[in-house]
Amino acid sequence: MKEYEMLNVIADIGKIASGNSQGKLLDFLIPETAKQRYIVGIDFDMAKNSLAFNLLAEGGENGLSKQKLLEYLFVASERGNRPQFSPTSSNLGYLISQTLPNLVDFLPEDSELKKLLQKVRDRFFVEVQEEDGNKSTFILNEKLIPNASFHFAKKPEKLKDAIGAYAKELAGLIAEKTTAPAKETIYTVCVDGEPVAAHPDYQRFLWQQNSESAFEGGFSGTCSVCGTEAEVTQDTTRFVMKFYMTDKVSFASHFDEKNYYKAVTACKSCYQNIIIAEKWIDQNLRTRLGGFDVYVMPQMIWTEMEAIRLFRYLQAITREFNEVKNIASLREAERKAAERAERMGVFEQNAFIWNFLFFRKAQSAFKVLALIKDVPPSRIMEITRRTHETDDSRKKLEIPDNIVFDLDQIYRLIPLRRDKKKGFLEYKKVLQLYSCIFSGLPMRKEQLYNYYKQLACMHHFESYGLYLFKKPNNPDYALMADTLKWNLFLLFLQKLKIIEGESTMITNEYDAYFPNGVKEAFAELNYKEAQQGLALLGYVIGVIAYVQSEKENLKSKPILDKINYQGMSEEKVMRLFNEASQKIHQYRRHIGYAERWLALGKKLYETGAREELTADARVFYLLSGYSMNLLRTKPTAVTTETEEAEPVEDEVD
Amino acid sequence: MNSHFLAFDWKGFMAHFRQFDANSSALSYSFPPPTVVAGMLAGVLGIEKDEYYERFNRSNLQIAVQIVTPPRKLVQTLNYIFAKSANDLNMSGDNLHTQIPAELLVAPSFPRAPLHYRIFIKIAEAALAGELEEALRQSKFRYLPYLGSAPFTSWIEWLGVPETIEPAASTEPVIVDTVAPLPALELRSLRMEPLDGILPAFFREHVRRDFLPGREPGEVIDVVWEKNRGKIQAQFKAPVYRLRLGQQVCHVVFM
Repeated sequence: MKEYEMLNVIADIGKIASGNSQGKLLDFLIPETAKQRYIVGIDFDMAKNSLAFNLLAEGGENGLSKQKLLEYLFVASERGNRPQFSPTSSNLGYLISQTLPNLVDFLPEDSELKKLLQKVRDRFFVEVQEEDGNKSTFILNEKLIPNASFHFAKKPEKLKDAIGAYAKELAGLIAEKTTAPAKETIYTVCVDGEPVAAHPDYQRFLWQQNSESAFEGGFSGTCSVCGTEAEVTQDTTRFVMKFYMTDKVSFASHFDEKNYYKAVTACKSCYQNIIIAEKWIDQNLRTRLGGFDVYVMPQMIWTEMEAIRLFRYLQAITREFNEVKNIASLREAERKAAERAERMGVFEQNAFIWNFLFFRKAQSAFKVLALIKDVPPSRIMEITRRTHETDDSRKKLEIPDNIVFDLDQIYRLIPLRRDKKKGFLEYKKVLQLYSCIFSGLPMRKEQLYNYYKQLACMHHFESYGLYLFKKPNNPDYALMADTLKWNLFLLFLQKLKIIEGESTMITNEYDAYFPNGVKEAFAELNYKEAQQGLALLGYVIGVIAYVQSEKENLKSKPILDKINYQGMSEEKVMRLFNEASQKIHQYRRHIGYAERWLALGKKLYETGAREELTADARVFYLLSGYSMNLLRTKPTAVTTETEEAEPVEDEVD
Repeated sequence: MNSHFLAFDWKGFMAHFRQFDANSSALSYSFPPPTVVAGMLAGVLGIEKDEYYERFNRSNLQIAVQIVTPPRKLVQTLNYIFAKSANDLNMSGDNLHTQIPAELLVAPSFPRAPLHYRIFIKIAEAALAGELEEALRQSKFRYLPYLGSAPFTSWIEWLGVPETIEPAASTEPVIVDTVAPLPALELRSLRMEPLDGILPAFFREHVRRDFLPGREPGEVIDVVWEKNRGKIQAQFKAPVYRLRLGQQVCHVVFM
């Protein structure tokens, strides 16, 4: 999905976050913190006709505070090709070119600030044209800057590049004079020592741009958001989270672009609420799940709920979600039982519906990767419960703490291909899984086995470069850890009842002949006969592999190459049983009960519904057995977790 | 007055009821909103597009929708013509497309069973009620009904003229079977506790109630529906009608 529709959800959040007071609009436009640590003033001294650079503010290690940013009205740059007008910016290029001339054009005729800036422009700026004469712009006169190289001595080929080079050089010069490193600096324009941002004319203009400019072509109509009759607009260009296409006439009623209003309009109050909400959501409802940025946006069943009470829980929603997605924080949250119980009480009433918006910001573009809508809180609680139960099973099976399953882990269990230009590909695989989990949609088990097989191939052939994963220290251990995680993942999905449940073998006359701990694993993970048979074969392969590497001092574990990681056909499984049998005889001095386990495995495999298993599923159960063995033989194994690279913040398809 | 209530089942295998404020992703409501039902009824009577809004306005035609099978949503990507201006619509230019994800509704057991909505209408104008009853009872449709979008053909099963038992008292909580407009509910009266042992899952949708003449946008309302049982227990400000259809009694609130 490129864009989405939840206009009224966003407006509701804005209404609650602002306490329904749009007077706070400017507050919301300013970010809570900025990573930059310094504010440097570029001061135009009208009397002396000179420029000065002064360090005006300095933040701590965590950057500048909201208060400082508010003082200089530091707002995000205008997106795309829209003209820039903010006198406080981290982009020096804007400030030495278009910002002041734009402000002169935009400010109303009777504005004092307009007159003042007009003087600044005329005195400090010169008009420069591109070589081919197509573009021209005002540039801060280079001659006012001592020792500057002359970027505009002749008409530049490309204005944008020339301005970039000029800004870079100037930033270096400012850094020298103020000792504020360029990367950590926000610049603000001052005239005779007074910041332009503090001027009431500018503040009025900024307010107007964000709330009223869209209403220049306004008309009276019904607001699509709140339904009231009022002055409305169909201009939604300032919204970051685009929901409605207004640049293609095929989407307008009667193919007439004047008719977009027939679908979507917003009154002033809703418009401002949306502007506020977009900023607030970005700061308060943003989190990450499995390597993706996600907004957790609640929708209220009751619009009339008390704003203050709701506001508290609105913020708790992201916290709650952060706890649900990660088993470590879930455990931590359990310790704060009282606080959580109170929150759960509210969520249990299903007063919110949750919406998950997965997105990516690439420069100025906002791309929606997926929207999972209408998730009731009861579903989140169910997921929490099942995550806990799965973790309990893990503990019962004595699988160590570093091999866990939680929602965040899913992303590490599905290998996503990497592309040098586009970042990661195939992200829809993971998002589709999340969608099924949150919405309770059924999942195809065959597909899951196929994902597992790709992961197993990646570990075995060490083809990490193709995927988002970094090469682990010990690929064999990583394969074991990931296979066990996959077992827990499938168990979790079974518990959620979104894949077909596996019926357990209730009585098993062969229980006594299973290797230690394996019987419990089969019961806990709901393995059927044929699956148990394959897992036992895998277990025996683990025994043989151990003997090969430890006792026989072979450098590798040749038996593992007998497994076809691309998929095990029925014939290959039978051949593997025979080969395992031969190896047992070959290494009989070290092999213990392996022969018995193998015989049992073969019997179970042949009596079970083995024809139901796909070639991918056979790989999964074989390697599950192998992993169970590896876990037992290496109880103190070094924890070499599989590492994965964070997604590259590039364009994706 | 009884003769002005009509009920019928509306079924089909796929549906798409586009949310009015989403076009770049064609998301769908989970049920036919009032404008869709009104448009379909106008089609049944053979009234042309944009000519029925006044006659089918809220004071003359009230609509209630019961979601009998909660739908499952699938997303498919559709190719639309890329048209920045009306001239591009004949594809004479670069033959470009713009891809739009579209949500399609199907029954949970698709394709074994169809989607199933039960529609109740209350009509003030006797002549209109007569025309509609005649057309629906005898399946005499001027235009075939479709579920929201032309490819999704559908059929109507006539249920009859329900007998109105009485408008239910609103001082006590009532269990209604239809989608309920939020303003019809008493503040904080929606019951969140389990009904028949099943925890309810409520959803809110933002729908257009009707169009004004000239297809000018009309009123927008928020409605609530419940997924697990299809029933909403609450206290209502608006009248709740107890309608008897054969042996069955339904509680209905109009949008």
